[in-house]
Amino acid sequence: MFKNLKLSAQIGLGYAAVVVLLLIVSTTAYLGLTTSVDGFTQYRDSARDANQAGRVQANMLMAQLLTKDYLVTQREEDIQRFNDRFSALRKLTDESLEMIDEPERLEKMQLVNSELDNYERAFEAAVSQIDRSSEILNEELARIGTDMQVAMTDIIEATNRAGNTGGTYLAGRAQEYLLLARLYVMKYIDTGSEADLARAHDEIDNNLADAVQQLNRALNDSELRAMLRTFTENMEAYGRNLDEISVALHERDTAVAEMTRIGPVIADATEDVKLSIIDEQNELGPRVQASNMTTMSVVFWVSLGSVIVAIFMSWFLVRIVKKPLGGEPRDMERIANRIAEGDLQVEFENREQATGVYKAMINMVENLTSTIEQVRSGADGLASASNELNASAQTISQAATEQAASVEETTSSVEQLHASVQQNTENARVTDQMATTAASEAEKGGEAVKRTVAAMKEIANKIGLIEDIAYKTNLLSLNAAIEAARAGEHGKGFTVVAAEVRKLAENSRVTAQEINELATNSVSIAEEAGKLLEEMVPSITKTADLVQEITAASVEQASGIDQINGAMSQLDSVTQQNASSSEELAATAEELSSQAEALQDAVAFFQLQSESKKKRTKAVPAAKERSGAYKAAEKKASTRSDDDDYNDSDFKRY
Amino acid sequence: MAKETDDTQSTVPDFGEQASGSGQFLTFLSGKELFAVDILVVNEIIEVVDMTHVPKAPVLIRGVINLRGGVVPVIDLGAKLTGNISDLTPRSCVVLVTVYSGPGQQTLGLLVDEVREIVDVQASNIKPPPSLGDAVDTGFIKAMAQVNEHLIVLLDTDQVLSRHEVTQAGDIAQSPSKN
Repeated sequence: MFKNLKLSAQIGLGYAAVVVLLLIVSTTAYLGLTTSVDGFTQYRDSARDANQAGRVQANMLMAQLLTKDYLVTQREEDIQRFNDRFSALRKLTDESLEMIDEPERLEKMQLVNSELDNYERAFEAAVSQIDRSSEILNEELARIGTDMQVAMTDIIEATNRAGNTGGTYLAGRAQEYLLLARLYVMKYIDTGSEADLARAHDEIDNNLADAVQQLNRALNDSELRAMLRTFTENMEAYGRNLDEISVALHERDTAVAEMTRIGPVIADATEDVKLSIIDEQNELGPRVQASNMTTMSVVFWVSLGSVIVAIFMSWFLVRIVKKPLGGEPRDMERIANRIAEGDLQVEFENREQATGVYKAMINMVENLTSTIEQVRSGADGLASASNELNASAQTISQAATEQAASVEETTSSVEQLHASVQQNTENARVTDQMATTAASEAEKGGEAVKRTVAAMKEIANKIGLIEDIAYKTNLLSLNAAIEAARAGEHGKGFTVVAAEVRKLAENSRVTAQEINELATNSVSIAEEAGKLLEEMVPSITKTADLVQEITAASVEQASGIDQINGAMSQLDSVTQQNASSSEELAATAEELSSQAEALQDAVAFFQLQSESKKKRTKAVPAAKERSGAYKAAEKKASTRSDDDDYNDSDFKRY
Repeated sequence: MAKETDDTQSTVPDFGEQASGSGQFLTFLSGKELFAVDILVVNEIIEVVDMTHVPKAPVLIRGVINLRGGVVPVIDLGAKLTGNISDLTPRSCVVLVTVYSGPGQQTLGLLVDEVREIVDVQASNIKPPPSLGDAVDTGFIKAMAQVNEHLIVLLDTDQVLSRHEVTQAGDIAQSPSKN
């Protein structure tokens, strides 16, 4: 199918195939690079996200550390450092929220953000509660405790001076309980243990209160009792402050617990973000790498294929283009030019393997050579034929003149024929009448014969009667003879008579039989005559009919001869025309011979690849000399022999 | 014809010498054969007239005829001699003969195909009947007569019909007359 296309279409299709392959390579490379760049961008984004999440995590850890520091030292500068770190953390978190697009991670970061708020609040609460507890401790508990201790010491000294030992003892115990309570308070503040707090409350509310009551009963001095009342009031205030501080510490612990909870949550969230990014990177990295590898191999193979196809196409196109040509276009042009100049002596190389236009040119040269040789021989033949034609035309002219004379003779003969045919017609008419008469007479004869036959038959019958009579007479004579015999001697004479009678009877019988035979024969003869006459009648009738037909035919012949007469006159004029036409024909034949010479000259333009070339150049001027038809006729023989040689040489070559 | 006449005339003087065997004989055709009978037994020759057929009669007896008031049985001689019943033609005749067999003399009609003539035969020309052996009954042949180089069978009318046949014929002839 491809071979049947035009050359331009073939080349165009070949280049189109190469261009298509180029397009495939470019498209593949472009698509591969685009995928790679996309993957790289994605990878970079996720790396930045991971970095951000790591920083958030690190800062959070720092913030937690600072929180712990503060909780241990409870210094103002730690709060300051925490706040600096925390504000940095918030800033990072805000950046992350803006940066991260992935919904899951965004959710985590939002969680981190909200938990950071909680953390900040918890930290502030812890700070305020710590401040408050230290304020209560320093402002209230230390003052009240010291007051109570001083008061109890005064009581101990007063009772001791008053010699109230019981009172002294009780006051001593109260002092002991007070000191124990203050000790446990300090322990509680230090450790935060609930047991210490309970012990402190127990010392104050139970032991110290019991001791104070007993002391109150043991005291009898009003001044002391007043002091003790003040002590009791202080003791109650101490218990209240203790409760307050316990509440504040509780609050602080709650806040610390909150912070402790939030820390891992944030750490986990950021870790999750990091892990998810790592997962994504783990997934993305090999994918992009594989995609890059695929692109590379595709580009490599497609390029390789394109190169192969392009090489094949170039080979194929050259082959396709060269096959119909069969050789170099420059050679073709040279050969075509030589053929155009009439030179058919072209040498071809590789005649066997020649294809396409080259082969067509070989065929063309061969066919042209043979055609021109045929044309040459044809032209020669034409020249001689035209000479013969000329001679024939002369002959025809003479013949036409003779024909005209013959036609006139024929015309007079036809006139005579016409007269005799009319005579014929008349005779036939007379014959017809005679035949009709003969037919009717023959019929009458037949009737007569029939009547004769009937008469004959009657005669035969009558003769039969005579025969019977003779037989009876015979019988009578026999009887007479018998009688005579019986009579013996007397009947002798009668016997003789009887014998004579019998003889007569016998004779008449024989005669009658002969007549009968004759009559019977006559009857058969007459019957035959009648039959012949009857058969004659249709023959005669037929004859009459035929004669009538002859008459009609004669009439037709007469008219036919009239037509022949007309035709003869036409023939005469035609013959005259023939004579003039044959003269024209002779002139035309001369013209034809000159045309044949012109044709020979024209064909001489071609130079054939044969030795006859020299002879041809001689023959042409010889042909040119022929001017008249007669001259040409004279030279015909010599030209003929030349032609024959020429043809022979041609045949040899093939 | 002249010679025939001479022959006839020459027979006339010998007419009376019947005892020596010579005599006149009537020749006739029956079944295409020529036979002859002695003219003296012949009463008369008549043409075939209307015969009355007798029922139950044998084939031999063609019928009876009325002869001048008398009833005469007619025997088909062809049927008797050759076995073929004779056809009636214009030439057929009945030869009336007198037979002496049976109970006295009796007149019978013999139906023949054609009567010919009366010939005179010399005694020297009359030969005895041929002996053909016991197988063939030659009783009805009286003699063989040589006439003009031909041998003619001379029939013995008394022997041609057997006694029984003659009696039967006589009964047939008499019964219609009685009735």
